Amino acid sequence: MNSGAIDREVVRQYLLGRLDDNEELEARVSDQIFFEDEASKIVDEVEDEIIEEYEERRLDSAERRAVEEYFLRSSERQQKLRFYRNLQQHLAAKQPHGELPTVTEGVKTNDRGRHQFAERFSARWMTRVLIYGQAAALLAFAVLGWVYVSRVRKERAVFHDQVVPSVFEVTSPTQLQSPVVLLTLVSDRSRATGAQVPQLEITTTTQRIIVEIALTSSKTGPYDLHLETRDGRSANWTAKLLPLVSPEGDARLVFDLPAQQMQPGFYSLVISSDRPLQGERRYYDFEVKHAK
Amino acid sequence: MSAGPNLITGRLLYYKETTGSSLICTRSLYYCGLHMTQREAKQPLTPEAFGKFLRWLSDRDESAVKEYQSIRSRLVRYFIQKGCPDPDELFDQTIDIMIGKIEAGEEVVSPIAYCYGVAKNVWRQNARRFKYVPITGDFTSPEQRDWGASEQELGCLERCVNQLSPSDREVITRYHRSEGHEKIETRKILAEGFGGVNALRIRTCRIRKDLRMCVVDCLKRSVEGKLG
Repeated sequence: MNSGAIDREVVRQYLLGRLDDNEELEARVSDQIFFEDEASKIVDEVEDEIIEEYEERRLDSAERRAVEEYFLRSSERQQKLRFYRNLQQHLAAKQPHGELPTVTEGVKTNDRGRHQFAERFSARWMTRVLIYGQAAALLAFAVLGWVYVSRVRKERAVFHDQVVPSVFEVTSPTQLQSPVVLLTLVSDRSRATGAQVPQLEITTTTQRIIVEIALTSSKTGPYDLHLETRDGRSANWTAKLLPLVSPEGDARLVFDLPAQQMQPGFYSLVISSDRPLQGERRYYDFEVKHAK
Repeated sequence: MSAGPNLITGRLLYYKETTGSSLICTRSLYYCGLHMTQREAKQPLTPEAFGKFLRWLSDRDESAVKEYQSIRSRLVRYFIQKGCPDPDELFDQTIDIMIGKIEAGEEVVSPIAYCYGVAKNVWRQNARRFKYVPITGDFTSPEQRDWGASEQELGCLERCVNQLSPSDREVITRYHRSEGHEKIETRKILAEGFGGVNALRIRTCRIRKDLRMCVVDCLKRSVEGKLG
């Protein structure tokens, strides 16, 4: 069986259990992975990629939840994650001693003998470099230290005289730049009564937007969400979420969006549900502005 | 097909023991337990039935064992990818059904495709049950204590890292060592050396896989060394 190269993104969705609603595609991917060695190699790589992104906290909240609730069900994958974590800690603790000069040299050198010679040679030189280098480094460190300390003193004086008063004049605590900003959306487009679209100011340091959407019904979901620009183009963010429902029956969706790729302009978060009788699409509009 | 009289399958095997990492090295099935989780045996799998299954896979002992291992690894992998918390259990169920079909004299053209078909049905029957199994363990905290490596594991890890080729060692050490902005820069430089981020990912994935297998092997040997 060979049905062409398998798409990495589809594999990723499959491994995160997100193709369960699409039986035909799910079965096709499943068959391909089972019968084709090349596809199963790609699965290995994507699995590794997911573990790395999970461990380095590079997944958005929906993907993170998929990893914890689906991907990590098997003990083999938990072992893989555990191994990744241990390796990371082990190597992070290692000192950068005895490295080869550059990566590319290491990669290009396939001849073992040549490599060993290069290592011996570099080890001999390393000893000399270490002795003379340490002395030179100590001297340079003393000089640089002196220069640095005097510069810091000078800057601190300027800071106290000029910058501190001006900061207190113009900056209120809420204007301090935070990596996270909050966006609360209450009315969807159909219920907007001419009021201004909610505005969101982000800066270059803003990393995530925590969004809270108050839902009009307390249905249990799940809800499909995606982000659109004003002209209806997809902004490459989708998620499937369950709402939080309070004891009083108020339902809301809480999630985070990556802020770094968002350009100034109007956006809509589009909510729909694939369940019957749960209403049509709802558009929650907002405007992103870049603060100076 | 029928089981040949000279096919040696050892003593009475329990299902659990047929799903270990190796059929040839029976010692590791008893002592090591690296790829296995202990659980209650449901009913004994007789050497005759298992021999029949192997013989059904191939007339030659060596290729029968090879075929069995290939089927096992593919099916277990399939169950893992379907989000199954206990893939060995479903593999056992699949083999159980397969043996029943062989004994009923069912005609099969491709054993692996047939096993896969049976495995899909086994999965469907169990899917609802697994959907609500709570996941044990806390993965969210990188400092999770229960997950800390034992001294033995760390020793094996150190040994395996040292066994890597110098270039592999350098790549993986650099890739994992730094943090924050420095990490981004280091990985950028590494990616340039390999001709792209994807190539670097594939390389580090391969190195980690080698290391993982090396550590498992090292732990296995040290357990066998203690018990043997």
